[in-house]
Amino acid sequence: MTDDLDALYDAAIVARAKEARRSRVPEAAAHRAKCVNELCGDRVEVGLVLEGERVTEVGFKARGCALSLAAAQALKEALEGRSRAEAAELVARFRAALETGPDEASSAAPELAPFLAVRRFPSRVRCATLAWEAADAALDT
Amino acid sequence: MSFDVAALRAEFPALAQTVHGKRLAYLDSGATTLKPRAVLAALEQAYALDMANVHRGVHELARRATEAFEGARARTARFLGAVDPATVVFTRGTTEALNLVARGWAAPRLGEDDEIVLAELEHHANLVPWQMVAEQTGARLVWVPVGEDGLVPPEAYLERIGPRTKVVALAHVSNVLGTVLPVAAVTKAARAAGAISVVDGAQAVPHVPVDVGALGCDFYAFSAHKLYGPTGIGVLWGRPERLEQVVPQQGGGDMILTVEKERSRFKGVPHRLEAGTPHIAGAVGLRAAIDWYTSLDLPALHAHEARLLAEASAGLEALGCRIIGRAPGKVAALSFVLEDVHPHDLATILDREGVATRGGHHCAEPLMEVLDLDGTARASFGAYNDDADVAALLRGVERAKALFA
Repeated sequence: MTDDLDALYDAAIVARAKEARRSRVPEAAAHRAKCVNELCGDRVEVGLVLEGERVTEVGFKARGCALSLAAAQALKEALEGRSRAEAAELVARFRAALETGPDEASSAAPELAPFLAVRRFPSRVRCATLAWEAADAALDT
Repeated sequence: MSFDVAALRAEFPALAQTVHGKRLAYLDSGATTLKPRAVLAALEQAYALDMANVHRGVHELARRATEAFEGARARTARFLGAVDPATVVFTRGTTEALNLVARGWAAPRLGEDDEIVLAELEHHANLVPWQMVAEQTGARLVWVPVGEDGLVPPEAYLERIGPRTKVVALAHVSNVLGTVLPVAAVTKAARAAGAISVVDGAQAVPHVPVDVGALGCDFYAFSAHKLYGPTGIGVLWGRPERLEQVVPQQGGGDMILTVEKERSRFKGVPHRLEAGTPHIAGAVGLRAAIDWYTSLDLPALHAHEARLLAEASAGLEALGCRIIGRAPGKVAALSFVLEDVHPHDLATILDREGVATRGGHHCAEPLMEVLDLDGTARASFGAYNDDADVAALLRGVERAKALFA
C-alpha cells in the first residue's frame, strides 16, 4: 500500500537527502545567501559560482530535515550548467509550484516532480523551498 | 491500584476524533494538554451565565464573577500548598510570570557585580528573560552544566551559588529530558547565599506534587494549559515579602487605589500586578482544571504515566532509538533520536499515523547545543494516554525506519 508518506519520502528524495550531507559551499562562490526557517531552526547557506552568465557550480551547507536537504541537493542538480536567467526562472517556478499552485515545476523539470508531494503537507512546504529561497537571494547578489 | 484510563478518556472530546483516518494518539501534552469536559463546561458557565467584569460592579452578575475569580485564586493557592490567596498573581502564562519576576524584581535590583545562576537545560522562557536582565543591568549569567543522562545533581548548583548570586532560576521538571531537578536543595543554598529562587513549574505541575513551602522557593510559575486547563492564563506564586518587592510592569485599571493627574496609589498585591480586566473565564477554567485533576487518584495516575514512559522507552530502544535523558525518576517527557531521521521528518511520519508528537529544539536551544543535537523527537504523556498510544508511537517509528531504510 502506498500513501502520502511514500510520495513525500520517495526514494529519490531520501537518496538526495543522503547525498546532500557531502555538499559544501564552494570557496569560489561569489554569490551567497543564508536562509533560516525560524519555525524549526533549519538553516541553509547556498553559494553559486558564475562564469559570465552561466552557473558553473552550486554548493550548500545545510542543517535540517530530509526535505530541506533533498531540496537543496535538487537545487544544485537543477541549476548547475544553466544560464543565470534560466536558473532564476527555474527557482521562481519551483517556489511558485510549491507555495501557490499547479504543476508548472514538474513540466519545467521532471526531476523536481517528487517535491510536489509536499503540497499535501502544508506545514512542511517551507522545508522544501528554503534552499531555493536562498538561491533566489544569492542570484540577486 | 489500577487507573481507569478508558473512563477518563471519555471525558476528553478531542480523543473522539480521527486524524488522517487514524485513531488519535495524543503524545504532545508537554506542549499543551487536551481539555476535559469539566473545564469546557466551566468556561461555558463563565461566559454564558456569570459574565461580568470583576472587582467593580455592584450587580448580581458582577458579584458572581468576582466570587468565581477570587475563588479560583484561593483554590490555586491551596493547590500549591499555600494558605494566603494573595500570594497568587494571575498572568497570561508561565512566560509572563517569569518575565514579571525578571523585570519587576530583578532588573531594578541587580548590578554589575551580581550573578544569575541557571542550568543549560532551561526552557527559553526561564532563560531569555534573564539574558535581558543581564544585558540591562550588567549582571552575569552563570551556567549549571547538564550531566550525563540529563542529570543535574544539587552539587552542580551548590558549586556555583555564592555571595554574588542574586537569582537562581530553575525548572522543576525539564521539558526535554523529563529530569526532576533538586529544587529544595537548590533553593536552600540560594537562600543561604542571600539570593532568590525562581522555579518554572510548567512541566512539573501535571506530574509531581507541588508544595511551595516544602520546595522553599521565592517564586513559582506555571500555566493552566499544561494542566488540562485553558490557554492564556497562568500563575505566579510568590512569598508575600517578595511579591511586595515586585514593581508593576503595567499600569491601568484594577491595580489602583486612587488616581490623580500627576500620580496614583496602587492596590496591594496581588492586584497591583494585574492591571486591566483579567482573564476571568480563564481563571475559572483553571480552577475547574485543578478540581478535575485533584479529583483523580494521583499516585495511581503518576504510576500509570511512569509505566507508559518505561514501556515506550523500552520499545523505542528496541527499535534502535537513542533515549535523550535518563535521570532516575524522570517524568512526563520522552525525548529520543532515530539515527539518520531528522526529528521533523519523524514528526510528520508520526502525524500521518495519527500520533501527535513534537520534534525540534523544544524551546531549549542551548541544551541542544550542549547535547550536540539538531533536535529531538518528543513524546510527552498525559492522564489520558494508554497502551494503544504507545503501540501507535512504536508503529510510527517503524514506518519511519522503513521509509529511510
